[in-house]
Amino acid sequence: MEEAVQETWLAVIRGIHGFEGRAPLQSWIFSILVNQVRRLATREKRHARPADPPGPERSDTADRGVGADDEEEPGLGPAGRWKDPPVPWSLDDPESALLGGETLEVIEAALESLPEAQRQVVLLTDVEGLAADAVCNILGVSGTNQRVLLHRARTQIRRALGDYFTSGKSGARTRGRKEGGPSR
Amino acid sequence: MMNCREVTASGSDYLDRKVGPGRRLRIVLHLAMCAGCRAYMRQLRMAIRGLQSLRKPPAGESPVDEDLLSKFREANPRRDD
Repeated sequence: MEEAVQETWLAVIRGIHGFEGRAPLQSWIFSILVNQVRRLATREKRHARPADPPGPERSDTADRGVGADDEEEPGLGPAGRWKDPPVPWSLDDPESALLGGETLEVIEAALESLPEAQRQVVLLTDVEGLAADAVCNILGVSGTNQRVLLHRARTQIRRALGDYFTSGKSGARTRGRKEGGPSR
Repeated sequence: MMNCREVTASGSDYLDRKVGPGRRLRIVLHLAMCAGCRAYMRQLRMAIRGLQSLRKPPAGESPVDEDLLSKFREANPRRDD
């Protein structure tokens, strides 16, 4: 990773005259970084994680919700209704529970276990706060794909948080209800 | 009437305000009647907030793009200038 960062800065310095300011500087540098990481990963043949299957390329998703045909929530029954609805987290103070150091570690661990493409999209979109079209440009994915990958990644983070908050492992106090273990 | 599968599949689009008004209304109507999907949306929103809270604040006031650009260009003058 350090090598990728060094190569990125060198490429930025070498390429700065070619940068025409059509995209924000931040997006441009990110896109160079992504390319450097990809190049190094290919060179080192480190395919630690299986690549995502190519995402759906549909034109009709705009009004059907991304992921309609994809992996769905595990608690849903055959009729498309909840069989095992999500267990409420019942946090006294969601804000401080969320910002606790341990909770952030849970989120970071869940990020680590995501497939590469999902992790890239959610890191740039939610963590770095880039606009969706900038993320599409940097990663070379379609808008539909960006939304599919983003939603999949977020649902994995939700599940990880749910397992943590309902397992009693979190120090966060819950309101009254005693839940018996994770929701699944 | 939308079912829970469709509502959860649209969760990110709904929270990111990327659904049209008709679909939005149908989701809101479903949420009004379905405690499971309300819990799901609350939890998905919290997951997003948690991800956003990982964002590192910029170290001090970073120079604006133009400053940074001119510094790079000074450091690396164009050969044919």
